[in-house]
Amino acid sequence: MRYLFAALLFASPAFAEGEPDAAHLFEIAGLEILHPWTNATQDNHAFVYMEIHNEGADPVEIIGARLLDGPQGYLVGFRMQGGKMGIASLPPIPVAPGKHLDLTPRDLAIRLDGLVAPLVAGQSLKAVLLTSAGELEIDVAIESMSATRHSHSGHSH
Amino acid sequence: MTSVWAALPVFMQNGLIAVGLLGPLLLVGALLLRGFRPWPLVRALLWRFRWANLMFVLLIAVSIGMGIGLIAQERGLRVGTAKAAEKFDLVVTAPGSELTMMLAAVYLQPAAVPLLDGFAYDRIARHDHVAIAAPIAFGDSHEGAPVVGTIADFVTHLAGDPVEGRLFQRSGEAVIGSAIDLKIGDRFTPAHGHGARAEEDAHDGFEIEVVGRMPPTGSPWDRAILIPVETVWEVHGLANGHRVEEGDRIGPPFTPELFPGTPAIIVRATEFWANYALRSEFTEAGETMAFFPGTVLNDLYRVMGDVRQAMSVMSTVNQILVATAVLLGLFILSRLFQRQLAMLRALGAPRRFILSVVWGYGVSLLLAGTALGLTFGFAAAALLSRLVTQRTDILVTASITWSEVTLALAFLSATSFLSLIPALVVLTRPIVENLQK
Repeated sequence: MRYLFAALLFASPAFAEGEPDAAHLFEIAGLEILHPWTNATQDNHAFVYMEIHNEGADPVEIIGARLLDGPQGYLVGFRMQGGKMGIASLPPIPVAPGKHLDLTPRDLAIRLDGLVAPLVAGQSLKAVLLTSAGELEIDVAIESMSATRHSHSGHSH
Repeated sequence: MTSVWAALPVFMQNGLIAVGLLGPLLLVGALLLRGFRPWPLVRALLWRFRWANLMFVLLIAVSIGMGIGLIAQERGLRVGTAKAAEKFDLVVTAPGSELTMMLAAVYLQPAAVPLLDGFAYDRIARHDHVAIAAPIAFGDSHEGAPVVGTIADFVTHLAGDPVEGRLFQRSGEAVIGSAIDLKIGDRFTPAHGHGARAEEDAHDGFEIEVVGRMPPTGSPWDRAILIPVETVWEVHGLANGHRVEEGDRIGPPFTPELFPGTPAIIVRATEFWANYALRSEFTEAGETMAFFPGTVLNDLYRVMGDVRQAMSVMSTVNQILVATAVLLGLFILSRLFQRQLAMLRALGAPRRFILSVVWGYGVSLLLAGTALGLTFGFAAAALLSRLVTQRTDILVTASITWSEVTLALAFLSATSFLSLIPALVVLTRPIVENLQK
């Protein structure tokens, strides 16, 4: 019984945290991309979010993204104007060495335009992140329409 | 289909929704009233039972007014709080709760928060993409109004040039918010702390002169007194951020070693995009925390969104209850004049004519109640806005928008359609029995 309890304890999600999960982590020149995700949608556009850490020695600019089958994505920022949230396209944003930049809903995102098919929750999207350090292929998890974070958000990978 | 709808102009979407909501009502009306003139009889019924009818209309109006007034108020509060935070693009504080820091720095809600040192301030103020780095020092008050230490550039950024007087130019001068009951040239001694336990005599010997008044901002800063940050430090017996050889100069740059500390730095970036890079750069574990008040508010609104949904559900339930009461009321009211209707039927009036009279009577009451309800809602929203503005100093301007009008139209359409039921019931009653009553 004691061994069974220990086995269950170590198998619990709390102990699973901290384990590396390569499926959610992507890297190029010291730039780590964690948990890229988007919401399921029927529209022809979507917002992509992620956590970006610059573990390298030089600043890296985040430029935008594109899907493997063509649609382009660009950085957009959300800001309050006249008491309402508005969206503005942004130029490349630098991430200094040792710093992180979080792309989160209603704050900062990459907007993908020209989607030809609905995005279905549970599936993923192949995309290419465009940075000043080069192009990085990432898997963007498609979360539910109402999700506000990646399913594994909060886990340290 | 969704994209076609989204491509339509807002006024066209609103118009189509209104047509969709009122369509069934107009269709029923056209079918029932075609070829008849029931309105003289309807008018007579309305006048004959005017007090009962008036109560009925008031019941509907109060119900609609409460529902849309509360929804409009929630939206007004949300927009008001967001507008009050618009001048605060980026706030840098010591690590802690973003919400607490935002309430303290943006809405001037007193809180004991750790201080940032002069080196942190210097690093932020010297950044290429920082246009304004304003230290905010609070903790003192005057007759309940917070006395906030800052720099002159922040006063201009917050409210523009003073509408009266000028900006402070030396330590010991103050620019007051638009709602402060002081005049240019008045002098006061700040109390240490806030509220009932503020120490009125803690800073005896220091006098601050009012030299300017800010235009209204619609934020709690309208009820604040802004003084040079150096003055705040000096009245507390601290260094004032400058070397002795600098004389009476106020404002940045400050000497980091002589900078006593600030709870928050309000940052204005040179360009919008730079805010994101600055937030990233100024967020350092254990050192500083940078955040957008707009994003914190947005998170708060998301939680409030659940409350809004609950309010909408409560409002809908309320409308359903009132709709049920309306139907019951129409049943009761139709009994009041069933003898007259039986007489009409005995004289050979067509059944559709009787139906149109009873339905027209019910719809008249519903229409009057809905129109009055919108007026009540507008009045309730205005009254609540004034109360909330007085209590929070956040300018709340709630108004009735198309979404509230849509809610009222939906109520009118549904209840008008349902009021066919009492009208049909009238026709099922035996004529002879009704004539004997």
